[in-house]
Order: sequence, then C-alpha cells, then structure tokens
Amino acid sequence: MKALSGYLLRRLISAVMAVFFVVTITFFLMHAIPGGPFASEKEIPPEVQKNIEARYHLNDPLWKQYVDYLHNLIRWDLGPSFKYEATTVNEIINRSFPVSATLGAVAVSFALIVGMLSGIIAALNHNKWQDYLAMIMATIGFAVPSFIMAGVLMYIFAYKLRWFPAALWGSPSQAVLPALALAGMPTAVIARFMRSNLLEVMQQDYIRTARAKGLSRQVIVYRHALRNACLPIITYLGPLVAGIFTGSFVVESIFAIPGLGQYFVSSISNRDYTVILGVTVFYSIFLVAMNLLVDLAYVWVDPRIKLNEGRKA
Amino acid sequence: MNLTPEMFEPVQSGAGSAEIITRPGTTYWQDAWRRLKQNRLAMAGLITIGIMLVMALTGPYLSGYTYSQQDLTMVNQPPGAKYWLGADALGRDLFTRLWYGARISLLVGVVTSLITLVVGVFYGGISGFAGGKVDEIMMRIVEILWAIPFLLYVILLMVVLGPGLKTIFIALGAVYWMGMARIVRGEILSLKEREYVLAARVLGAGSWRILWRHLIPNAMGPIIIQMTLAIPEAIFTEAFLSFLGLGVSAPMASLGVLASTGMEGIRSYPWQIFFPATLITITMLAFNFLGDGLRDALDPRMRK
Repeated sequence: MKALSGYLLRRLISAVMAVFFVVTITFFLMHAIPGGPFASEKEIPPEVQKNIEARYHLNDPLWKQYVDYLHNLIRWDLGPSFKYEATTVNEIINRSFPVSATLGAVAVSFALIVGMLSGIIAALNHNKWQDYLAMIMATIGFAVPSFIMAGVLMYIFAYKLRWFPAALWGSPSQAVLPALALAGMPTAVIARFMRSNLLEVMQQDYIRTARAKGLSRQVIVYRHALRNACLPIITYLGPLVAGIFTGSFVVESIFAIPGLGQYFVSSISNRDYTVILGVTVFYSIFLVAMNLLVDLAYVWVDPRIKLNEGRKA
Repeated sequence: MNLTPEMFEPVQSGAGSAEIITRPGTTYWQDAWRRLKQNRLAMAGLITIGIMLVMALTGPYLSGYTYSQQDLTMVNQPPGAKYWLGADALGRDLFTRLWYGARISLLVGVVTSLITLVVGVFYGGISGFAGGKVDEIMMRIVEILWAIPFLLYVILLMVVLGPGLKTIFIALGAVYWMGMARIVRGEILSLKEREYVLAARVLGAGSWRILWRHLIPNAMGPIIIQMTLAIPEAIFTEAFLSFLGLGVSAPMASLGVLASTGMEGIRSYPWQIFFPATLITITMLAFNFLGDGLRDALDPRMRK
C-alpha cells in the first residue's frame, strides 16, 4: 500500500503542476496578444479607454493581474466576459457545460458499448466475415474526422431521409446525430483495441487450461477471457473523454448546440479573452482530473499493474 | 614415421573457398523494404501517397485556373466540362483549389513531422543518453506537458500568434514533439547498454559521436514509424483548426478550409464538401496503412 500512496501523491503533484502550468501559460499568452482586448478600429476617447481598463484592472501591472487571477481562480471565480456585458465566465460555464456533458456522456457510452461489442464479435469470429466487416468499419471510422462525419450524417439523415433534426438542442432525437459524429472515431479505436486484446487473451495459458478442463466455450469467453480483455480499455478512457470534449468544439458549432464547445469557438472568433482563458482553464482541470481518475481506477482494478512503471522503462 | 619439415608447414587457409560470399547480404533497410512490399495495404497507401504528391504538385496547373481566380458569373457551378469539380461560392475552380489545398495540407503534415523529428530526437536523445537526474527532470517536464489537452494548447497558440501557415507549423510542432521524444528516449535508454556502444567507447569515441553515429541511426526504425504517423495527425489537426477559423488565411486553402467552406453549403451544393472530405479520408487511410506497414516492416520484434 506504501507504493500506492507514493504513486498517488506523485500523480497528484503532476496533475496540480499541469494545471498550474496551463493557467500560467494561458494567462501570459492571452496578455501577450498585441493591442489588447479592447483595441478596435474605432477611435475611443482616452477617458473612456481609461475607464474600461480600470473596470477590468487592465491598468494594473501584469504580475498583479496574474496574482489576482490565481487568487480568484482558487475561489473559482473566472472573471467577467469582455464581450457580453454583465455575464461572467462562471455563468457561461454553468449554463453551457451541462449540455456538453450530456452530449459527451451519450457519445462516450455509445463508443464504449458499440466499440467493445464489435471488437468482441470480431475477435470471436476471427478471420470470418464478421471480423472483416467490423475491421473495415473501424478503419473507415478511424480515418474520417468528426466534422466530416457530422456533415455526412447531417446530409443523409437530416436532409435526405429526414429522420433526425439537423440542429439545435432539447429533445433526445436532436442528440443522435451529434453524438454519432463525436463517437465515430473513438468507437473505431475501441473496437480495434478490444479485438486485439481479446485475441491476445485467448492465447494465454489459463485459457488453454480452462479449455483442457472441459469448460464450455461460453464459460471460457464470458467468465475467463472477457474480464481480462476489458481491463486495458480503461487506459483509453482518458484520451477518449479528452477527444470527445475537444471534438465537441466543432460538432457543437455544426449542429448549433448551445454547449461549452460552441461558446469556446465563438469566444475565439470574438477574441473574448477572459472566456478563452476561463474555458481553457476549466477544460484543462476537467481533463487532467479525468485522466488522474482513470489512472487510479486502473491501478485499483488491475492488481498486476506496476506502480512505478514509466519511471524506469 | 618419418617427420619431414614440410609436414610442419602451415596449411593454406581454406577460408578462400569456404567463406566466399556469392550473394549480396541484405541490409536492414533492404530487409524492411522486402517486408513492406509484401504488405498490400501498405503498398496501396504508398502508391496513393505518391499519386497525391504528384497531383498536389501538378494538379493546380491542369485546369487553367488559379486557386484564387474568381468568376462571379459562375458561382456555385456544379461539376461539369468548364469546372471539373464545380466552382465554389466565389466562383473559384474547385479542382484547382482541391489540389492546391492538398498541397498545403501535405506541406503541413511533412513540415510538422520534420519539426517533430528534430526537436523530439534532440530532446529524447539527450534525455535517454544522459540518464539519471537529467533524464528524470526532462521526462517529468514531458509528463506534465503531456497531461495538458493538446488541442486546447494548439488553439491557444493559434489565437495568440494569429492564423497563417507559419503559426500552424509552430503550434503543431510545439505539441507533437513530445511523443517522438518519449519514443527516442526509450530506444536510446535500451540501446546504450549494448556492447557496440562499449566497443565504441573503448575505441575512444566521445559521447556526442556515440549518440549521433551509433545510437540514433539504430533507433531510426521507430523514429520513421512515428514520423509517418505524425503526418496524418497533423493534417487532421490542421483541418480541425481550419474549421474553427484558425487555419491558413484566405484565399489560401487547405483540405480543412475546403471542407469547412463546403459544409456551409452542404444542403444545396453537396459536392463542395464531398470532394475535400473524400480526399482527407483517403489521405488519412493511406498514411495510416503505410505507418502500420512500416511498423511491421521496420520493427521485426513487434510482428505477430
């Protein structure tokens, strides 16, 4: 258990450092942009300019702004939006993140269920048509970027077949196409991963033992092989969640879904720096925390894993 | 028995007849090439990439239009004899723009992959070769950076540096070197324990010479695989950035820019997204097939 707490501590420090690093880098990058957030083509009277700067503390020295930002961040106050008067970044996140999270959860579940199922079917029918079909689908799914998937799905299912609405958010049917577009690539990755895991596990000695003992194929596959083959999938959960949430930037914009991804994209084109800063920090903390959880879950689930792995390769 | 001095003459070395090499030896690279040739998917990928390169170089000159030339009377023309793949919303020839976009996308892929190569090999090589505290610190830095979501970081750099081809190279290079550094470091860590390194050391070779002349060339296999797989990833990310309006600036085009402008008119002019989308997909497939094939060919240990 000593090794576990040491590992936990090391990972926690690493995660906190990563978040701190993101906050610092993001903060100074945002303030390094020439012209500042209120530079516009229109000539503003100097008094007005001064008032605006005072309102957002832009006339403070940079280090003071940075310390203030860190201080506010600890109290989870991300500051006001530059673009939308009277809206804070916290309000934007509170309002739109649930939408993104719902969409993300649907996509993650879809990717896990469909990906694992097709991987298992492919492995159990190794070198038969089911295997080839699943792997062709997975190869295509792997090569199609999410925004192209979104376009294709929208064209076929919303415009030609009219099965699902093409945009907006609210009813479950509106979640189908964006979730599919987001889940396409991760589903393909999971299917390939699951297939090769299961094929590898089926070669193991303990499976041969089980077979020699005379256990039925069902029992061997479901009780002995699948459990071990599923374990490594957990390691993919971190990148999976990260991929789906960053993928939601474009998918939400395409389907006009009022999620955090769309806000992020529009804040980029609006050059709304506090929103860019806040949302980047928020996403970083969220994804770093997810990664940490996933790693810990893996250590917890699989006792074979070596804790100081990666330290000395 | 009579012993004569002739009996004590050394026998002529038989090496001449027993050790004649009549067939040329196969080097590592010939061996790898032979294995690669047997992999049909990888060869299909290689040929596709070859065709794409040729078309990316010559395609923009074939139709007689330039990529920025507008004809506002021919806006959104469907594919036909005048415009082979149709025209876009500004009356520009899509055939020319498609291959011009492919050129930019391939350029982004290749340049990013080269930046990855230089930075990653340097960083990983030094980290692995130095070992000990230096390695510990250098790898801890990578570990921390690794935890940051890549795409956010790229988006941020693009916002700060402003859109354009050069900033795409910088932003993509700034994040993708880490994977390469990890791989090179791992390779060097195990290679430096080999006997030929000891032999070189005994013969008086300095650390720098051992690293560049002995270790890095022996780690070339994994490095090339990683470079091949970095190309589609960079093309992909560039397309993603273009979609957010952070790609190359107009009237330049990349496959991502074409796909994202095509998306706006998807309902009425589906061919405007169909061609760039197909080309992106084919590119991704080709590079991934080639990368997988190279992995099998260059790294015999990894083969099933």
